Amino acid sequence: MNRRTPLTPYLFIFPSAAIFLLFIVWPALQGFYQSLFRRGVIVRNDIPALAAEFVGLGNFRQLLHDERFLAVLGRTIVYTSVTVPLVVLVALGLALLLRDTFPGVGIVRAIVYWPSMVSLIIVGISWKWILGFESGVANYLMTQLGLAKVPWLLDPTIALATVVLVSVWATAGFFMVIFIAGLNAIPDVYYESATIDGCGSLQLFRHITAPLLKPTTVLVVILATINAFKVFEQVIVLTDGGPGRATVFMVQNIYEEAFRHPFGVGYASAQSVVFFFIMLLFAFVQFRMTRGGEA
Amino acid sequence: MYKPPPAWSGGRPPPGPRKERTLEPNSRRAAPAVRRPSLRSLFEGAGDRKEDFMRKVLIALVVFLLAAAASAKELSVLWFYDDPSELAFVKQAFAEYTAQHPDVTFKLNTVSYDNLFTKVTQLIAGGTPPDIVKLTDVRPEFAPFVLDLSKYEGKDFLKPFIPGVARGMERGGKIIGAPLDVTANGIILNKSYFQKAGVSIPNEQTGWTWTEFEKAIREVTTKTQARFPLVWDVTPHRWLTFLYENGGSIFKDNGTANGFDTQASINALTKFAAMNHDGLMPLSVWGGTDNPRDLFFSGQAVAWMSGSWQVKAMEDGIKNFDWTAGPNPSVTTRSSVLGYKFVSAFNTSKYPADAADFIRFFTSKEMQRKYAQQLTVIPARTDVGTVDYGNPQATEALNNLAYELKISPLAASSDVTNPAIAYVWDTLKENIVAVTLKQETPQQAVTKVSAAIDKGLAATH
Repeated sequence: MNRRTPLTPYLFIFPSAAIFLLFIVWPALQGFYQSLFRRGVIVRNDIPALAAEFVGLGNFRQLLHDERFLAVLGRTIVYTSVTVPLVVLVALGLALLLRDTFPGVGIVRAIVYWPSMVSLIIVGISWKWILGFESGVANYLMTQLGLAKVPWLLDPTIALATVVLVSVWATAGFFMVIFIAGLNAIPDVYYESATIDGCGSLQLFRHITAPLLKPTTVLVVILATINAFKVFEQVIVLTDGGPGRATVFMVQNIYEEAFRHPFGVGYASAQSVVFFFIMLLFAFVQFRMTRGGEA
Repeated sequence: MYKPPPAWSGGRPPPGPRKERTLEPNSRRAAPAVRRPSLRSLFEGAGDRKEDFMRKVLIALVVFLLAAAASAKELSVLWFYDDPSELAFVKQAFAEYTAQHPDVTFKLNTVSYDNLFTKVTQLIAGGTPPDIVKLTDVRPEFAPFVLDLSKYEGKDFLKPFIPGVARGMERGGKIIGAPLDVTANGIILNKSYFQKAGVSIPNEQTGWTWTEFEKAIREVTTKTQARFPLVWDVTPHRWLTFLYENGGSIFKDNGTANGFDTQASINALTKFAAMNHDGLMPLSVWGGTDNPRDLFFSGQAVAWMSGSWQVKAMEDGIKNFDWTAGPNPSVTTRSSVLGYKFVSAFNTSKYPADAADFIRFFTSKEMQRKYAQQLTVIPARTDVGTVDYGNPQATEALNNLAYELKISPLAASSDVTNPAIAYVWDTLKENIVAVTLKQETPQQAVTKVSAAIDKGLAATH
């Protein structure tokens, strides 16, 4: 009997695969190639001033000694390390509070989820108006209450904390929904048995909820880490990387290098390659943890 | 082989032989003869006069459209604007030019100033550069693509323009564009607040020192409902005003060497930072994201360091107080900073001669006069004469700012027209902010900016 490989499944995944190859893989490969050159956005080898100059690993060697890049990388890691646990805790807390049905739970969930539906540009603009030092609503209310104005976006440390809080506010709702789905997938029989045996709420959470929620938690951590590492839109609008360069992260640094510095595309591509491998490392570690979770 | 039908077994009679359908001329089912039209039939004589006439009209129309398509030249134009009325002016100019040159049409694309240079480089990299573009600078990345207008308009094309601006249009023996308007940095004052506080503003000829200016605006702030004495646009171009007023410069030796590594630069950075911390200026502007334009327009600031391009917006947008411009205060020198916008074409254009001709038309004496009058700007040509802006406040402000430009030191115009400045802007702004926020010392900032200046000079000289 002849076994024919079915073509149909491949035809179904072909459009997605084609888009993925064309818009993700091909530009990534081009980025790797560009990182080996000193070049601008426009490359014309017939015009000496615009010709791409092959520098090999020169851009990467420069990165190792670039204090500005290392500072941005460190800041991005710190931002991710603080934001991700906060997002997970807040989203899980909201999920535990809102997974039970009570009158109006749908409206409350929608309100909590709403920020993740709004463009991050709008999120940044809105919070900029609220937190402006001289013209912001928050400081106006504080002065009305006799309190001193807070330099939300003026002090480097406070500005960084503000960016963290705005990011948590903008994304916790989305992860709350994922946690609710994970919580609802835990069979009630475990809770019933444990309750009969006299377990309290904390013990229920520690011995039943947390272990069975681990795959969902790992997924949320992966997504939140990727989101945090590529933070850009809300920061550009909220602080534009300021005060000074206190809130400049990796993606903004790469953007500025490529589009604001003459002939900086090659160096920006080298930064992108480093960024790619860091994200790949995160994904690898998290996937290993996922397999541990499934076991 | 013929097979006879099966024997009839009763019941319904078997079907008879099939009758062949024919279209008899007089049968009910006969349809009138239909003559299907074909392309060939359009060109064959039909004998019907109406049909013959329509066929000829159709042929003529097709020929006309093909001819029009073959001869039409569409010039793509990329434009940024400060005020929406400028777009209306530009479209009117297109219509006037097309009326004189029916074979030339225009396709207008607009872009915000913040994205202008990114957009231009991306369009060129993508192989779809515009034919004509409005610019404030020619960046190194697209400089080789700028059309040399002298090849089409002659070497004397820039003679009618203000010399300082014309100098900026000449790069490496080429004419890279035609100036549209000239801008001048300057102090804009809330005149109503000064009148309410009983503090006088000196005239342009008298002027005031920085100490006198600071004292005056602080006094006005305490006697009115203003919150801040002074706000300052967050751009390195505006900051240069203070550098020149302190006797400093970016370049020296005819623009071939670094002129920034001086005590004047350190003084300017130190004093500017101090102004943000001693209550003269709100730190939230240069150190944060507050918009100085909004603060002045809403009456929260007594004085605003900005420039002549704001006059139109103030004319339209400020209705509850009087305003004026200048005189710029002096530390060691009194200064404004030259700025300009110009129109260029790219040598990738399919119709370079037409692009150059339109630029000549758009920057002609008559168009410049109308452009300056309708958009309330300082014209770039010297032969336009006195412009009637139709608004006394605007006229006074622009005349004052033009005077400031006239008495400014040479660096105020030569620095910004030096091609190496493109390598300096971002680093300069970054370091001004860093000193203002006390993240580095003025000396450290001077060192970093000097490195950028040296890099720019090496790349362009």
